[in-house]
Amino acid sequence: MTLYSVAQGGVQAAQDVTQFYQLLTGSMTDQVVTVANRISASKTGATAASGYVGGHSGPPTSGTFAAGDMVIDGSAGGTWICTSGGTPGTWQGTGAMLISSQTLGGAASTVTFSSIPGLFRHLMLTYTARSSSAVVTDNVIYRLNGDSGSNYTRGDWSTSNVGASGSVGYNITTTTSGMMPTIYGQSLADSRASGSGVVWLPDYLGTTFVKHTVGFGGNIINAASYGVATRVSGWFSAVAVTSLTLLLSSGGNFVTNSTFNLYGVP
Amino acid sequence: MTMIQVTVDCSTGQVSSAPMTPAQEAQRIAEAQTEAAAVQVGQTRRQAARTRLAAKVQTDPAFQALVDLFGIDLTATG
Repeated sequence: MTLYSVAQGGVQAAQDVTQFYQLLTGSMTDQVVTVANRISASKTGATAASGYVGGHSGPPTSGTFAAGDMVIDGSAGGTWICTSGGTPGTWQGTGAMLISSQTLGGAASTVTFSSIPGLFRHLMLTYTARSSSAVVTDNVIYRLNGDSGSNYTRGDWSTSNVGASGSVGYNITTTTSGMMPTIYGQSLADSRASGSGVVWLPDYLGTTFVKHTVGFGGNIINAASYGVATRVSGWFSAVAVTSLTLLLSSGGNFVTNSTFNLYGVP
Repeated sequence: MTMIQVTVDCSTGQVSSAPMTPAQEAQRIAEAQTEAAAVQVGQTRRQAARTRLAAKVQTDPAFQALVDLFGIDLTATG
């Protein structure tokens, strides 16, 4: 749609006014409207300052903004709201955002999420995976920031089909990696036999306390074969988390199509 | 078994995979052996706990009540 413009000294014609009317009423469908500032609304009952100011990957790092400004994050699939105006101001995400998702195209011994952005308060990891090792169950273990020292303590409260009526066990140990819920290995012949976990890492940018992971999950394929675990691990380091490496206690591989999703939670 | 390490750069979205070096593979295998030992230690602790609890149950009814309450199988070997 050609947009009409009126030059100085020119005559304003009907179509010049009509185009604005068509833009405002939505009858002009082929013209993108771009505003080089803020688009605001103020309806009775909702008159606090607010406005859409554009798009950015993560909260803006430059420019001056006001409280109530909203930015669309097209890469993370979320929005950021300015809670305190400034240059660039203070921003708050509006919900959990997917930082990265990885589905293995081939077997892998380790999966590392590196350069984790410092834009959120908490991290959440979900996974569905299977081990290549000739075991019934395999432990998903992890390291933070590449630390392979004996700086992790694991607390494990789990139940499984070991024994005639199942067993409930509590175990705690200090070692070179933290631990997450179990997954199945190749001793379960059904290729669908896997395991899933949901693991939280609260306050991952903190520099005062140790880092904890709190994980729930396990592996169930029938009433005779199951493993359910709640696992809390502590990493004795008061630094921000920038990378997360996942591996298996058996030393085996995560099989093809194992999936890992890392979310940032504001 | 070739050990592959996959890395996802969360800032750029770039995914890279590379085989581990022989040194990395050797370290990984050693770590797995350490893991296996840690699990066995845990099992030993559980078994020791059952032994102590079983002894207490013989002399103190309160401990039997705890065993009944939590459904603890003192004969388990895991």
